[in-house]
Amino acid sequence: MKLKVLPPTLRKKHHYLILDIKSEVEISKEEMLQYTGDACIRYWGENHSSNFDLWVMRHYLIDKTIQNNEAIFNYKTVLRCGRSYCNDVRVALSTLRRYNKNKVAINTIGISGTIKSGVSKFIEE
Amino acid sequence: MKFYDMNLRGQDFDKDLALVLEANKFGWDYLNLNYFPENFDKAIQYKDDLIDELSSVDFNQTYRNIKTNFEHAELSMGINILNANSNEIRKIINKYRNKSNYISCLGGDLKINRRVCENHRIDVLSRPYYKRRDSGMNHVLAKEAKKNNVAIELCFKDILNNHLRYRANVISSFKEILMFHRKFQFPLILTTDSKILYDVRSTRDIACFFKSIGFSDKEIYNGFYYYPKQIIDFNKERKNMIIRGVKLIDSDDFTDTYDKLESDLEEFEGIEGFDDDSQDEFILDDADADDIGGKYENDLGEEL
Repeated sequence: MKLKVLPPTLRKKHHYLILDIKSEVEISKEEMLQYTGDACIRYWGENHSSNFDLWVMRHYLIDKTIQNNEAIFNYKTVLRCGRSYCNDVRVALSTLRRYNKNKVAINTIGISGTIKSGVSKFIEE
Repeated sequence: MKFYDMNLRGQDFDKDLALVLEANKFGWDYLNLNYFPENFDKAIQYKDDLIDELSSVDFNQTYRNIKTNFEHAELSMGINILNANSNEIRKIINKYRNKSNYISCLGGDLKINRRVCENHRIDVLSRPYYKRRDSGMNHVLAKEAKKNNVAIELCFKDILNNHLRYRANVISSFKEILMFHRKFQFPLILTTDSKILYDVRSTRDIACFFKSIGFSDKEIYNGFYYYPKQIIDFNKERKNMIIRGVKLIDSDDFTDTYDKLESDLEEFEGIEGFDDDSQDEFILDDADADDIGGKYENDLGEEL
């Protein structure tokens, strides 16, 4: 049996970070969740990271370029996080540079209150 | 607020161009490429080409805010002295002081740290904690740095490249140097030391990082804007400095009211668009839509 959906006042409040990701290798949506979770736990520890409530909502491949014979995959991602922890999450993501010996850079380019508005403003434009 | 990055690692034209374009994209207002002394003359030759390439970038392809960052980043070149003893440092400074607006020296060795802090012809002591277990600073060096107006540089790259115990050690060094800065008031600048694309981070991310380890808004403002601008302005006037405290000025510049002598450098006064509330410019107007009956989506994208 499914749990009944909580009323709006009892639901967790979220914001959505729009991320710009550069990577040497392709990253799937599931891997993206690992990347973000790992970065947060490594920087803030298990206790504080438990507040973040991270989830990858959208994940788009924007383009693939080649510089100095190295491929660079550019993604844009919508990441859900707790409403008062946006800055903590963006700090943790900015400290990630390597994952599985592959270089990666994650930058936060915007914060939005809804997925729809975040996508339309920061990704589709 | 403007963000100055005084330490990008310069290499050759193609790599520098990629690095500068990426940093410009993420909102940096002033970029200083640092070279080894032997590469500096070669780098100066393609500086104009870099500036031309940078100015031809389409503004809509960047993440710069049109309201606040309406111009592309400025570019300059400086010298970073690595692995030199005090004699070599003196020779390099004699040769390049008049050619370059920015000379920094990598620290880490206690003798070098001391020698650089005592030398008013060097602008910056870079990373005094480099390959050390402690911060490489003490109250004596802090007083000397203040006296000779030598800035101490903290690099974000040391956070990126170190992990676990080593990263904790670097953050601990940052905090100790910040403690000295609060007591002795020497200039403290914050940089990224980016070498490749993957080192570049947006200005807000880096400001948030330093805030998370205990820097105040004012210290971040001073580290990214006030002290770097002060170094640049001071070095433009350095040729006219006869001795400390005495500056040669043209008769045209001299006025009774001293209006022209005032700097445009603003001190921190709780600038708008910098606090946590400044996220407003990123958060869309419908951010509070959930309170007024906006639509919800669950993890599967279904509307509730």
